[in-house]
Amino acid sequence: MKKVLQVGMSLTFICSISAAILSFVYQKTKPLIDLEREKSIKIAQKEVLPRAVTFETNKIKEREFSIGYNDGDQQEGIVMNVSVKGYSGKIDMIVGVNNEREISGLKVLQHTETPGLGAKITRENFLKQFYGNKDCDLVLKKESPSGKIDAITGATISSRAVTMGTKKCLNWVNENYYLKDK
Amino acid sequence: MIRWNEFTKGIVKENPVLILMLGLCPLLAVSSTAINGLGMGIAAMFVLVGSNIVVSLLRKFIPDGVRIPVFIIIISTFVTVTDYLMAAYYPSLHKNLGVFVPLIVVNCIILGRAEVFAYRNNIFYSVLDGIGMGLGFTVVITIIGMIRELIGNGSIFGFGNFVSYPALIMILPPGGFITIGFLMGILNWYRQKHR
Repeated sequence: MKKVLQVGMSLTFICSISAAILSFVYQKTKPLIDLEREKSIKIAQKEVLPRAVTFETNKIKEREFSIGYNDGDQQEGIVMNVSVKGYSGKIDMIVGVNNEREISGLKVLQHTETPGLGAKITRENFLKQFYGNKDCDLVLKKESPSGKIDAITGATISSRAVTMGTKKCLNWVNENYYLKDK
Repeated sequence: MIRWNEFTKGIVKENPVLILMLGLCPLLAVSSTAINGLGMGIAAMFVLVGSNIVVSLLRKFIPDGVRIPVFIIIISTFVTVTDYLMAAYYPSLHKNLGVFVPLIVVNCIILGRAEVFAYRNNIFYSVLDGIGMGLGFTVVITIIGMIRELIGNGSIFGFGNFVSYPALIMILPPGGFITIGFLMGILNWYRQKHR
């Protein structure tokens, strides 16, 4: 009985020390990590809508998005986050749509696709295919004769997921949001 | 007299992957490209050295009956702290290595070395053992990554295009098993010849 108590006590002691270290480090690093995340979101917004300088968050029907303005306060387009189901988990993307309702940019922020295969969705030469397209073109070439997107070899599901996500954004913009000057 | 063999043994004679057969799960998962392999190797080596130090320091206080749970607590604390610190202070490094850090927890090389070595030796040798074993793991995972990337994707470290018809299977999990089998075979053959 005494031994059980002794072992239990020492285990409790070690666990509480580890919990204390973890909470201390978490508190110290959280603001820095959040700051870094915000910064990287800002950079990503700029990358997918290159002509815009400032961004303003907005909300329609519970859907958040950002409107991008150029330095003359003219509206350049909108940027929104979308997350779709990929091959082995969620794919988080950020999509930019310009005033002509074309894809102005696209970036995969986070994913858990297979390294070496599905993970290639983050590559520029795959994502480049989306730029300047309207929603009717956004189908994989192998699935429809009107499609414009070449799927990645061995990663059809991941490629399709990115395509669907982008299409969802464009559809949402066409249905809910009427791009106009400020 | 310093026992340098504690350092060198991990690289060939007791290579954690090819001889001790430890850490195969992260090895197969991550070694599809050379860069991934190198990143995983370095991250694992860092955590291995750190956990060896902590376990070796605390070896007098850890009760024998619950040492495995205590090792697990130490390792997972260390991994989580590393993840947070890296994300906060070295964000660009975290962007590249961040995906591997949670995978380190399942790397049984670290638990294995804590149990077999660090729990029974002083800090200095535990550090040597950690670096040696970490190097052994890094070298093997990078070599496997290079082979799989070259045959399966036609490039090395993401550069070049040397193979015109890459065999996709090498990037998929079966390719990992095939490569690792061949490497083990070659090493065993070599060891038998030079016994």
